[in-house]
Amino acid sequence: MKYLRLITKNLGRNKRRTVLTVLSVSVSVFLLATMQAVIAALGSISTLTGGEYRVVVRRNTSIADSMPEAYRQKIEQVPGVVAVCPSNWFGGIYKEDKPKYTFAQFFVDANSLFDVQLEAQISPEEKAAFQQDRTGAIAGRKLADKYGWKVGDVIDLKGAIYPLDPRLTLRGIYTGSQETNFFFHREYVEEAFGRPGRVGQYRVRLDSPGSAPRVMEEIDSMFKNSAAPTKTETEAAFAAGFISMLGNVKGLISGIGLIVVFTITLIGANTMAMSTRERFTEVAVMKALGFRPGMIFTLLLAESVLIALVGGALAAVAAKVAFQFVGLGDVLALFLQNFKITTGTIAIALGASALIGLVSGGIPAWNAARIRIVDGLRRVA
Amino acid sequence: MPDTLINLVRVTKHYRRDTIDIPVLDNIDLEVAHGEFLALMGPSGSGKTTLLNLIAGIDKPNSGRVLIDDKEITKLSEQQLAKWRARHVGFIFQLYNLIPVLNAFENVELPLLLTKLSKSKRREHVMTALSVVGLEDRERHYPRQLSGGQEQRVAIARAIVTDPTLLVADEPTGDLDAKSAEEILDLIKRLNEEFHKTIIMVTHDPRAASHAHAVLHLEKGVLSRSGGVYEVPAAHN
Repeated sequence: MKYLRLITKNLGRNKRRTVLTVLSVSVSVFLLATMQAVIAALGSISTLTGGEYRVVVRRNTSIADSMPEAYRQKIEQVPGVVAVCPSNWFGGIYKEDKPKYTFAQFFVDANSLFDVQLEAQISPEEKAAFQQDRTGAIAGRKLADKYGWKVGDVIDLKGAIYPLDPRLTLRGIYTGSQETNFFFHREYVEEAFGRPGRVGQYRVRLDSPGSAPRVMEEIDSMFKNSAAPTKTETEAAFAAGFISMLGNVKGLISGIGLIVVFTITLIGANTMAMSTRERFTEVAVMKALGFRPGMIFTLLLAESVLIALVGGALAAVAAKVAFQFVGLGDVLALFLQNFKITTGTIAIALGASALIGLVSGGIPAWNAARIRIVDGLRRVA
Repeated sequence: MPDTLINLVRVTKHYRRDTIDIPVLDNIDLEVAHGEFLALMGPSGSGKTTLLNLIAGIDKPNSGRVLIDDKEITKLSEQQLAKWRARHVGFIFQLYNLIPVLNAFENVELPLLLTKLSKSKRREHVMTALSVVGLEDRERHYPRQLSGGQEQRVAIARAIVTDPTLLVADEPTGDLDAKSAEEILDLIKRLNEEFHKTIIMVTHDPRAASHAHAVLHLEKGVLSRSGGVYEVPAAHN
């Protein structure tokens, strides 16, 4: 502890440089934390939603293309398939076109939705009310809480993809899985457009997770030579594909994050090297006074690690605030329902910061510890 | 010589620049008694600072032996030398070499961080050292807030705070005006007379050298001594 004051005083030697270095580390670690949270959220999709019992059928060309309605009956006949629910992404605007009003909206077959989404819990009365009302809708508990919705509320959406502004009545609130989703009747949209009979995705319930590989292969083989070939994948892979509509976000963030961290490590090393060079004489004086090379190395390395850890802590706080309190997480939550900055993410961010500090400060500290006292003192004379 | 503190035996030092050997010290023999105050003079490049560095244990000779209080420091490892310096040598530099981000108290405390003294004991030692140099009321001042003479006094307090046997001063008045220089020389002399510190002081200034018991002249690698024979005070006999 008696050396802590020496370390902190040295950090205040060039305040601007220290602050800029801390901020540089913060930015890179913020990206890393985001990347880590995205990866964790992607990994948790199937385990947290019961998705291991589901596969999703979509067009092999793009997630934005559609399939004929007639595919449903054929898919239902594949051995291992328990239920099929046609579903389309609506992508409407609620209130304003802002992230805080953005959530996942699907128009689905209300009768088969709960056969596929077995883990969704809803009271029989609310379920019946939803299924009987073509203008009815249901929302997950988290979504309803977020906007303060209660059963009976009228919810107006403005079509962004479809030229349709649905006015819907909330008939139920479900819990249990994917609680940030919003579902309404496929019939409502189909009627409005003269029943085009196009389906974006088929959500398919399996009899067991083990059937998935065979069922996926059989479905895709069935439509291989049709006008609209399919691509069937697990729910987790589908969610990842959904994200890829925005580009390869995971790859992009991973790549940028790692490049930035690597660059920051080099910049940090240069900063520490500059700082050490400026203190060449001081290090020589300290060694003359009896400070051993190991102690000099430790003190200089501690400065570097402390700067990086402060940067990492700032990044962790910034990520928590930005994604949890300010609402940037709402955009990601559209596709990654379990996206959150966890304690594990923060631990990884701090670990990465410490590593940046150790790597960037290690070599300059080692070089400083090895300088000859007479060489250092000669610079004064 | 009775009660010898410093004993250099046939010490040779040369530097190598590219492929050329540059001799600096040639078979130097020197004995310095406990409590002696010696001035080391000579032209620039004569090897004064090199000789001082060898005595202080921050450089090693190419041949010969350096014994301080009968301990051959030339045989010590870098780690052992660091420990030895911390206990036995106080350094006073021409440009003071205080740490700019530390205040006077913290600069003086620096060598004590290497000891096992408690915080309160360290404070006691630091305040004693600062009072010896007359700066106990400047403990919170940073080097930039002090005059050159005051900075050098803080540096002297740092040099004596561990109560070392030997003080080495490399042109301690070289960067000071005449008045401040005289004050520093008086202080160094007082450390010798009152606190019985053995002092080796490199200087170009004959007036500074006149404060010493004797003057060592170093020229072309050869050392000669002028001045009276130093009598060891009764306290050291």
